[in-house]
Amino acid sequence: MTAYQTTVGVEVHVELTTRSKMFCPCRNAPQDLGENQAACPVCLGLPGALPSVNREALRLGLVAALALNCRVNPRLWFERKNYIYPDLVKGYQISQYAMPLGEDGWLTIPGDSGEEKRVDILRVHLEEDTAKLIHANGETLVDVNRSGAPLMEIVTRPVLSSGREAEEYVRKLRAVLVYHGVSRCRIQLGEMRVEANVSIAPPGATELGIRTEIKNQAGFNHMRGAIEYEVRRHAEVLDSGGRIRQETRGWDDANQKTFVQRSKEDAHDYRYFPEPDLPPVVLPANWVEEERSRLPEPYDQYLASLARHGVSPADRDALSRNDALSFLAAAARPEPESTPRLVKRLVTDVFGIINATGVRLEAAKLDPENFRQAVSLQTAGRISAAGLRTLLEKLYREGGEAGPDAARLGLLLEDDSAAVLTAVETAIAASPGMLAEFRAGKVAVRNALLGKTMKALKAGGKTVDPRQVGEVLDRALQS
Amino acid sequence: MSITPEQFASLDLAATQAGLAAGDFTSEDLLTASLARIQVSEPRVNAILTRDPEGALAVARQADRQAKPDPRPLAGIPVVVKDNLMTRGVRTTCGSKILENFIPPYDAGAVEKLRAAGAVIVGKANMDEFAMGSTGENSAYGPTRNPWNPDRVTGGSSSGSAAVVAYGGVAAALGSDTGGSIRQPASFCGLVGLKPTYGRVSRWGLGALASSLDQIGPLTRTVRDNALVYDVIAGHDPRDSTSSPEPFQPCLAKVPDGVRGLRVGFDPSIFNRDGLDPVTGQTLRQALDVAAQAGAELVERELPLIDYCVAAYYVICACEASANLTRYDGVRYGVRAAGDNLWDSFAHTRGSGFGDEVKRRIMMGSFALSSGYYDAYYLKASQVRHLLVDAFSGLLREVDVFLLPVTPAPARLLGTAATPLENYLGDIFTLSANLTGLPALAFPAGATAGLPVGVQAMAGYFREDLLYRLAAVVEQALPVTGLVPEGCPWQRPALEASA
Repeated sequence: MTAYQTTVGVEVHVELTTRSKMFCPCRNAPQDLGENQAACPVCLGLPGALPSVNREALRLGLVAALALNCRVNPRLWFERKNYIYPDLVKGYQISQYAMPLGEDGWLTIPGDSGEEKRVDILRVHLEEDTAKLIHANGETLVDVNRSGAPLMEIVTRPVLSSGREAEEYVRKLRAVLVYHGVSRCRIQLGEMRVEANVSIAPPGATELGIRTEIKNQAGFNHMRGAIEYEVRRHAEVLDSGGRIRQETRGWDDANQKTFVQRSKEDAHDYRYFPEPDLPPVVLPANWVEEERSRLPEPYDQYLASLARHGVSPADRDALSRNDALSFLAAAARPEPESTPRLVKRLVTDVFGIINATGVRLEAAKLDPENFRQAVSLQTAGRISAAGLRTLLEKLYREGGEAGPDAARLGLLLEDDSAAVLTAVETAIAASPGMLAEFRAGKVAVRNALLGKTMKALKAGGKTVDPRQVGEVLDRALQS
Repeated sequence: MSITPEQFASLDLAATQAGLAAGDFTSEDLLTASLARIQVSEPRVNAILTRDPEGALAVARQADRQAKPDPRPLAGIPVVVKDNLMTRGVRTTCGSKILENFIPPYDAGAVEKLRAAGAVIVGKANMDEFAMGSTGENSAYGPTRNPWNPDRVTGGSSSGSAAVVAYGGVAAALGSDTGGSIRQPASFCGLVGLKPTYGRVSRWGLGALASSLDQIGPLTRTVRDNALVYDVIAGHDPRDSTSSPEPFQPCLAKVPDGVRGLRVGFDPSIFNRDGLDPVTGQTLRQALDVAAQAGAELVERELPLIDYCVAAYYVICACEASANLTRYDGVRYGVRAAGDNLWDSFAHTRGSGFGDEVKRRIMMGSFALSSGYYDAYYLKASQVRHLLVDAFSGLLREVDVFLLPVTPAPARLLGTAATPLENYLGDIFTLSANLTGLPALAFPAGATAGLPVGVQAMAGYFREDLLYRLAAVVEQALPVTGLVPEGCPWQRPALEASA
């Protein structure tokens, strides 16, 4: 078998974490709603419905373009990509063609050569998702909840050299996007979808071979398997004197092989033209610079800084193995100094919950923001360590909001400073002997006083954080 | 009933407001008179596709319960809207079989504004299918006939909106104008019709023909009524991204301001143009004379790039329409034709649901956008459009208003167009306003053989007030009634036009 050089390009679609859809105010939460619960005239493509651009989607796209080192086009526009299918409510997808949001970016990965490799990113653009078709009992039903959900497409140049490099790239891309809060990239929920273009050519060839495109792989392993399969298939065809047909292929995971979906002759002519319902978008220069200045440190630096923040190698290893690193970064971004605390909670509480529930972190309802807030509640003394575990478990299973849920679950410790002070003073006054002993240097008396105070508070029906009582007691004893 | 259908037919909006305030009649009386007038006229005219007597009655009665005078400008007053404007709960067909059963769950932005102003929407007006046509003959529900002469076309595509106002079914109707679809039927039916500045009236809820050209506007029998309704429907709407955030200046109060000192432009070569009906030319001259007598300064300027408008327009319009109409696939709403499989069902639904003109434009647009042809058609047409915008910007720095014909000739006989192209060429004078986005107003200024003849004024962006001021001067000097005289609609009327 001849040794060929492999060339791979990857197109990734990710769903953005906006509250509303790309072009209408309906909720962007396809997984959380019953069928057709986000269904306004725009979602349904009714006559007379018009799109308006979601500014937050634009901002997230901008963040992604900046994080991927792209040149941002300050004046961009949308195009209509025309084709007819039951999941495409208007008969065209609003997308970007001539003037995408970002161009000419890059990301580094560990290359096959063992050295760091720069992967060129051709473009980053915004578009809308399609509705979902549900096939059951010989019928096909349409659920428009996902129709118009914000979608970002990221396309590399054909610069990857193997299935392994493609996998490295997609893993890195995913980590960066989650780290920057652009998407949650949960692959099994379709929040991240990958397509790869594969071609091979003899060593030293100046032109790329004819490529095949592999659609919608369900995971990183599938993508890598499909690419490696295609590389072998191409080589066998060429070695036996055949020619590769330019076509789109699917991946049959059960049989570990690709199959023809669509040949080049059937390829669509999408008849792109500028979307007349949306004027060009001008990104104000100060907005772009503001978003640039608000970006957290680059992802690679963040990895390095975890070590500086005292996260142990074992914990770092545990984090990266559990896809939790990006989650952590998103949680810690507003207050980087809380990283060690968050790591501790992740590695103890959350990993414990993962083991108990069997639900992977990326599939859980717990989001980074709520995780951070829950941990802050405990740090601030508003819930106990045991309360935090209960709260996290609830959020992990069902989602929700940290503050209100802590209250609903009765986890909030009462912040009743006056009662605490009174109880402390009463306890000291009732035991003048203990105070004398303490002043004589018998510090263990302090804990006896604390116990008495807690007992009195409990008798009075108060749930108070012992740490808070201890602090008040210590101040009283010092005075 | 304290107002007869005949009395109602001749009332303008100011008189209607005054009568309601004085208690001469109620809103319910007005509705009854409007429906009676429609009932009598419809068998021959076919202006209305759907009437909503129950919905209208509820609104009229609600208006009657309000304290008088009601400050809402259209409180309790019957109006009609074109059937491509979405009306919640009331069938909206866009003049097409494919939407024969479609009942929208929402109101168009302009309809919301009418309702907020207290208007009583009595029905939905016939139209060329998806607004494609300039005669009213392309409706899937049969042509609308011109109330001035039932052998003649009304013009289109807002055919029913024009006819119902002309026969006195209502004093005001909304139409939409993509290439002259308000101004041309207004001219053929002796009415005032405004195509506002692009972006001035929300397109939210307007079944689209060509998104970058469509604009909603009023058709009325008087200039003042037109300004009143325009003031109601104009304004920013965040749901339409092409809606202008420019603050809106109401026009009604400026209508009587006259034209003294205004520079009124015209192209003297128009009068010698091939195919221009002599009376149409004379009518334009007559309007120019009136303007001059009223103190305007007449300025001769060339009408720019007029011979490129038809080609550029029909490319852009067909391209946008081909995409806008793909949604009518029978999957989510509208009529669905059965098929052996999905593609078969798509083909049958669209094959049986769309009329010939719609199919023609979908095919032209799809072709012009397809790979390898884009640069030669869509891109070239867009470049012409840019040149046109530049040329008109220059022109409108030198004149305040430009006067030109609406159409080369008055309404022709039904069923006499030889080719689609012949109809397209009839749009030559109305297309520049849509391609540039400038406002343009058609208003009556003469007559020939019992048919009204209009003229058209164009002004700078957001200067609808100038159009109304000029039209009001002409209206006063040349009192051409917009209402088909009594004894009609079925006798050929003797139109009175005197200088």
